[in-house]
Amino acid sequence: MISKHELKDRMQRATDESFSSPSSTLMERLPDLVKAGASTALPVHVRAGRRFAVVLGSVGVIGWLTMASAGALVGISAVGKLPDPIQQFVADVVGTVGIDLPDPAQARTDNERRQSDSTGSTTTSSVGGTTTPSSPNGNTTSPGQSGNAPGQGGTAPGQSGNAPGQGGTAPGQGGTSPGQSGDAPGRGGTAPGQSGR
Amino acid sequence: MTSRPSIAQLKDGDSDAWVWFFTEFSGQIAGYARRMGVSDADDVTGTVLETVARSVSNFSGSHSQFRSWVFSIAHARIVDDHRRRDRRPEVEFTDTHDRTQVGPDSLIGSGDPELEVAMTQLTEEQRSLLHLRFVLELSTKEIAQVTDKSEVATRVALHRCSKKLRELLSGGELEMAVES
Repeated sequence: MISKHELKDRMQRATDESFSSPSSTLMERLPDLVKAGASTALPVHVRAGRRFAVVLGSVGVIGWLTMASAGALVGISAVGKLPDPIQQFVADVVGTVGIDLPDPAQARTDNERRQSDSTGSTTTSSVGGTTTPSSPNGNTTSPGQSGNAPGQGGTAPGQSGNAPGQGGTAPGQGGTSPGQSGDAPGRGGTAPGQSGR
Repeated sequence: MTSRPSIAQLKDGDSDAWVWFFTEFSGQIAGYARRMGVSDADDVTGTVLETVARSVSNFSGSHSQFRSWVFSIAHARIVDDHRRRDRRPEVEFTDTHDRTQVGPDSLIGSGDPELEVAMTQLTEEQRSLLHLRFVLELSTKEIAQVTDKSEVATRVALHRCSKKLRELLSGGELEMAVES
């Protein structure tokens, strides 16, 4: 393989660098073109102004991106899906302009308050493991006392309303013996001169 | 030969400075355009020289940077010329080959036909890199500025196309390519 040096020599020898100017006066015209170019070149302050405009434009792009990000952040925080610290921050910032967002600290405080409220207003009964809420009219039943004492039902066990064998009316005895009314004669249900009260 | 003027002299429109510029760069730009297969290299060179003169007031930098800048303008003009011909191909009765490639026409008068044939096997970009490196002797950094690529990419591309051209010139690949 030929060396790079040899390649360079061959390429230089083979290059045709002749130039016949299309315009014979081109060489003389070049200095004039420089002056013409310099006069049409934008002044420094115009170039600086354009550079400033470009910077402003890029700032605008950055601004739009920032706005989009902020909008997305507020949108997500509105549904409370952000992690607590970020949610807290966004809620604080947006809260300054009067927009309410779910605030994790506030929610925590509310929860605690609700919990403490419910602890103070309820009576927990250990007997039977039931909680008896206080009745609204202030009538409370002391623990261990139901409406009826245990073993004291409305009717004693084994005692029906009527004793066995004792019907409402003794056999052979009519409801009323002839000649006898239910009440002794002369004795009313209520003593004369005495009212029920 | 006129001694190298300062960039400030060029910006001021000093006649001697521009004579130096014309003498120094016109042939190099024409050679570069010709290597890249531009049909009218003189016309492109004239356009490049005029563009440099018109816009030198906006340039700031060293002589090395000025050289890179001038060839970056030339490179852009050459690419424009290729694109223009791609859009509006100039088809003549006797000329139907792809003019963006270096063809037999460009070998006429060349002192090294074998090299020119080998160059036809390379892409436009590879020919450009090799010319900028070996003929115009620009550094890798300057070539990267001219072609608007990174320095690393330029170095890698240069290595590859230089190796390929040397292989073409040394081995049988070139003969096969010429036969086909």
